[in-house]
Amino acid sequence: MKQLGLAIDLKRCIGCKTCIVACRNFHELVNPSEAVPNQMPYYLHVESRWHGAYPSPALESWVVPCQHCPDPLCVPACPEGAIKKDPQTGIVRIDAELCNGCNAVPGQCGSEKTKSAPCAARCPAHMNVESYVRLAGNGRFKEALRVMKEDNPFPAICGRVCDHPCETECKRKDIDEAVAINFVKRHIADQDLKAETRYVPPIKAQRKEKVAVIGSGPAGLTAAYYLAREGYPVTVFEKASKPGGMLTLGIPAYRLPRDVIEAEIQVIRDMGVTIKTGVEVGKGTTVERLRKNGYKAFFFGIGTQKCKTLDVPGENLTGIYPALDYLRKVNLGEKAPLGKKVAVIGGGNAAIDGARCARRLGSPGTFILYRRSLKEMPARPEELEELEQEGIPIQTLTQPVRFIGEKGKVKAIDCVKMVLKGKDASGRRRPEPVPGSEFTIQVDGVIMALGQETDWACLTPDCACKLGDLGAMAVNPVTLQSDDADIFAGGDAVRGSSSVIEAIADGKQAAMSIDRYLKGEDLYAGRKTEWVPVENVQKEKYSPARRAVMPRLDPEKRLTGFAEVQLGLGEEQAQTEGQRCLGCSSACVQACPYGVIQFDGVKAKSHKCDLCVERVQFGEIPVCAATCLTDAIQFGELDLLRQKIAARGGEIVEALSRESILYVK
Amino acid sequence: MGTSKWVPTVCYQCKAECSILARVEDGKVKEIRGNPKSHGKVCVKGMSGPATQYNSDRLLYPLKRVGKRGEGKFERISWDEALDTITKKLKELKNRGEAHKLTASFFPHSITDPKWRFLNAYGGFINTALPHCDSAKIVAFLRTVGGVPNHHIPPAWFTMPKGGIMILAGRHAFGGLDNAAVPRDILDAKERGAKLVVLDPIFTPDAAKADQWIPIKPGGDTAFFLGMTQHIIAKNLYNKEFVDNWVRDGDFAKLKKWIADKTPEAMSKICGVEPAVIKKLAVECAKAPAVGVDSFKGIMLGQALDWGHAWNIFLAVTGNYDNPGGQPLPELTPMAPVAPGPGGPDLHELGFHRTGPNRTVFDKYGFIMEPTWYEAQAIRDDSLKVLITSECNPALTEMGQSGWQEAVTMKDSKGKYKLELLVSIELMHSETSKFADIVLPDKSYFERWELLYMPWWYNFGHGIALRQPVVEAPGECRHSNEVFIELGKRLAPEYFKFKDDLEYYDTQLAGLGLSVKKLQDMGGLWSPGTMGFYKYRAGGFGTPSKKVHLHWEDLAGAPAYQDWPRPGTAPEYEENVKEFPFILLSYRSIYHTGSGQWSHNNPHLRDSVSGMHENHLLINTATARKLGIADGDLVMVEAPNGGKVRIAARLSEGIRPDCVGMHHGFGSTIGRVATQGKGVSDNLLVPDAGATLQWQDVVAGEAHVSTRVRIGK
Repeated sequence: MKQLGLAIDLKRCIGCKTCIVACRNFHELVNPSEAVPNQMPYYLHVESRWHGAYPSPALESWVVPCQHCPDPLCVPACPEGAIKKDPQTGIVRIDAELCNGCNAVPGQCGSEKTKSAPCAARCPAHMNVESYVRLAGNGRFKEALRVMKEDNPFPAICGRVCDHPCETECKRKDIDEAVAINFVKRHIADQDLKAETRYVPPIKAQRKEKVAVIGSGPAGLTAAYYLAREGYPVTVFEKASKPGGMLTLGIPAYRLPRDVIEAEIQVIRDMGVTIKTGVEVGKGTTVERLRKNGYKAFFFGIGTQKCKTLDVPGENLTGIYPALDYLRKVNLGEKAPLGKKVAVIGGGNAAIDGARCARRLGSPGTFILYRRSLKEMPARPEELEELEQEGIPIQTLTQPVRFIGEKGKVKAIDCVKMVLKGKDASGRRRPEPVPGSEFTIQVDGVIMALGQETDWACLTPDCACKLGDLGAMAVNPVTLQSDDADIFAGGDAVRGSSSVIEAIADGKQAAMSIDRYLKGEDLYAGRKTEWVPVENVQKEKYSPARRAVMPRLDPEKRLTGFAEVQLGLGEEQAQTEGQRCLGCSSACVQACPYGVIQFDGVKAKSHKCDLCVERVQFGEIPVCAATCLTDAIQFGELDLLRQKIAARGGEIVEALSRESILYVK
Repeated sequence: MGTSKWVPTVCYQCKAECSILARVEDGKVKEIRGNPKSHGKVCVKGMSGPATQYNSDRLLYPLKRVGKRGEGKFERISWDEALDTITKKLKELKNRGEAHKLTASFFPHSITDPKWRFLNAYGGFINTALPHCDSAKIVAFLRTVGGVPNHHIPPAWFTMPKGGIMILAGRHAFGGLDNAAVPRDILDAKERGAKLVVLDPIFTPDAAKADQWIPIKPGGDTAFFLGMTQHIIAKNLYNKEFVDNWVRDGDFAKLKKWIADKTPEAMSKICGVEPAVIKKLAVECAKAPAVGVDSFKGIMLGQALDWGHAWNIFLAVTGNYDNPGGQPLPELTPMAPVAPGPGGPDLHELGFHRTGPNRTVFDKYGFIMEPTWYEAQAIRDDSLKVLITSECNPALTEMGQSGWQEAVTMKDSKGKYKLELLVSIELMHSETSKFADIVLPDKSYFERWELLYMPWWYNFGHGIALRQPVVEAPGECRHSNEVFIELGKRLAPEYFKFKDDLEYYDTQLAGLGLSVKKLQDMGGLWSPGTMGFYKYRAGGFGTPSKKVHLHWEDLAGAPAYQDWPRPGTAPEYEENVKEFPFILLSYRSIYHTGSGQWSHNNPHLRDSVSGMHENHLLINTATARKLGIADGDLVMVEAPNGGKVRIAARLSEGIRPDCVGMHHGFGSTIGRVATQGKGVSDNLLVPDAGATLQWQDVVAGEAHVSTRVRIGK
């Protein structure tokens, strides 16, 4: 295919913006009698960057039109299939007939549609939720997978274990119930489980700088995924015998089947990432040694493995397992005998997981002890529901004060009743012991699920980076860079115990930082840090419809093994559910990484630069090139432009020239 | 686009007046391009022309004031009533022997502008409407070489040879005002091997493309160039051929003696640039095939006439007059006079700065128009009684703008306004029209005829250009030239026997064997075909001696002491240094023209994406850190005149640590678009020029536009 494009000369662009107004005039983007500053559409904008300091600063400016990407994200993102890349010219165009403005009502959506959908704004990884859900609604599952994997390498995993804060924000709740985003996501993502429907992202370039990722949990593997996509040789070091971190070792298979994890990790392997298991950085090899071996940047996604303790007598008795140790043993198929009556102490997901595993592994008398009330439990409601279905009781407002043993093995717990008063630092009500309420519970085994902290043995003295309070690594909140310029960190290791999707978000941001760091670019420039959610959503085109219900395995059948409990929506169910999405924002505006797509609230259509195709057809050049004050813009076939640049001794600025617009120095 | 056509005309989004093509479709202006028959470029302001043309704030009918001055209350009147009111007042003024107390304030597009003719015929005066125009540059060139290279006449960058040096001394050439093609021409010259040097306390977009940025102290240009000149002479690197043949006899020997102690080391202390930098550039300039210097803000921030003088001495010593790449000396196109020609009153006797209590201060005043910035003081002095403003906005552009606003509302003992009549001829209401007694709706540059010749040298050599109507004017709009011709017919009919503006232009064009129609058929442009180099070789320079005058002996001694350039910076920088530690730089950009509504009230130019939405206080990052100011913090800026403004700080590595910058032209109070843009007016901080004569240039008419300030939270 021939690709038309522009070459923009940084030595000549003075950032004067003449082209922007010329473009608006030609495409009649504004009505001059009514136009209001800062509310006018534009197909071009100017970006600039300062280097250096007084008295020797430098300033570069350049124009950013639609990049007419070789593999445009807006094309699959459009639920209506209205955006196409022309095979003759390579120009990406929006078909005004097909574009329905993501179901907007003409003249009534104003500029709201250019903001972020609340789901995407809330999602830590800012997935283009609206796009993939509406694509599913239109039966375009293949495109939906492609869209999801732009922002998240583990949609099938997330589709099972994500705490989906997106659904909390869903505007559909104003009509009936939130869209079952996570269920739809899982249906789409299950295409990744089969090699023939799997989406493996193309590698953009070949780079030689080696990057080491320490920890193969969701944060580390996400960083590896995005770095591999940029073309870096990435090696992941994992101290356990299997990759996946908490996904593999912490989450039981009835929630997250092993083949799902394996399938999504395989995609990352297919992208060229090397995963070395059984290697613990800090013992044997060190960061310093890896630096000497040519690794230019490091990502620490080592999670939290050390279980917190209660600090009460008898905690070291046998038969008492820290939750992660117990789950690790279960997940690796090792033995962890508990007996019939098992107390699980804690109220988080690890406690629920521990209890449900114990119940499945021959402990019918499993129950949970929690010091607050049900309302304060951090575990997800749907897990509590499944817990109940599986007949596991929760004893609330109860706190162990002593473990009593016999011959070194636990046999009973002395407890005290609690009452909730005031509020603690987390905003939850603070439990206090009720004097004289002590009682004893007989048990055969105990699982302690009180939260985790990070084991930083990997940080040897050759690292300058510091740990903050609570044992998390101190990093820049935007770039995730530590005090060592080449060390970045994210996930639980930085946040303390958090969620899979937060780990994924960190891995993605860290990969962006590492890429810029290795290219010597500004780590901050142009990074989107603010997501303004749409407030006024149009509901005219929607009538109430029930939220999809997840089919689950019969509770009777569950307890005999580790078969997956949630069975997944069928195709028809996923499509119907996708149609419930209100389309709060605009899928293509959300998808475009360059911020060049405009939304016309009057016509309720997206529109953007088409390289002035109607001029080009008559042998003229695009308006921006024709009017550039300093002749900084050249138009033509990309290959010819490259030749011209080379002939004039120009240098293509690779960091900017990622798509079909070349930036020249 | 069946009914679409491209019409050649001339832009007036700013005073550069570039040749453009306007695309008209179904009677509406849709698009603008640079005219390829001229230099082919139009800037972002010019591109934004359609948004000026179709602004919903356009004035459509004559209005008369019904409230107090400044209240902005008007009612519609007929043209007859408006013209009768003005005629009556002007008759009365003339009858009482005070015709000279009429001033019209407008940008003189062309020396045969019929407005000018009216003033000469009636006996009133004109000022440029630009309180900080480059009058000192004009006076300096008149005194030295007898020519008038005003701010539209930069070096012809497209003639700059390889190895040449382009010096922008406080000149934001990429921001416009010469010709929209200047940025391209400078970058082209750079690409073929010329060097670009920018002297500016602010790192401008020009500096971003320069080979060398010299962050000079504001007003240090005189010292910098004197230091270079001293070094060139001391090293015997001066252009002997030019000096021997073209410098007035004796002047060079006097210069050599006088400049001996103006060494780079001595001048470095004044301009804040290392002696080695001054010496290196001096040697490069002496050896270069051509040096072109342009300046504008460099003029405004210092002792302008002294700088103009030092600039000319440098050009003479290096022989850079009228050579390719150097300082051009334009000639005027010979037009036929429209007879009979009115003589006009004597500026040296009757100008508004000459008739009041300060007349002796202006003894050596040498500019060809009244000093615009004395307007407010002239009202206070009772030297100005009728003011007609056109395409200007003194209520916002005057330094010490509140002083101007106070002056026009001052009343005499009988309770009558001291300024008896204020007329504003405008496209849209402005801060100024709010005070006017009569407001007249002007025609836009897409609606009127205008014959332009004088400053458009960069565009056309010594040529002329035709501005022609491309669309019909809305409502009852009339061009200010039509208004003045009508007033001429009523008040001085002997000089206004021609039918209308077109007949007037036809008469003048006859001198070239042309007519408006012919010019129109030719695409609206005429030029002799060459700008010409070394024209002085045939007939000498325009001075009495026909040679270059380096020494200005008439300015020797008190009160001026300006027979040689004074190297110091502006006097207002030397006062209040401790209490007001920073120098405020009022600066400009490509998105802005004066304080006129055509750029302020234009949505493109006030949009963050395509223009500039608000101004900030530009402050050096290190300075800000010391003061505990973060980017975006609101700070209070206070000046010695008592003015204070609150504005958001913008930290920058591109400004001297002892200066802060504020973009000029913000603080609009009227206009659908203008009032949506944020920002504040720098003129609230700058002292009223007419009331601070000790700081002003009373020889060449330059007003100082800057001040010291302090920054607080």
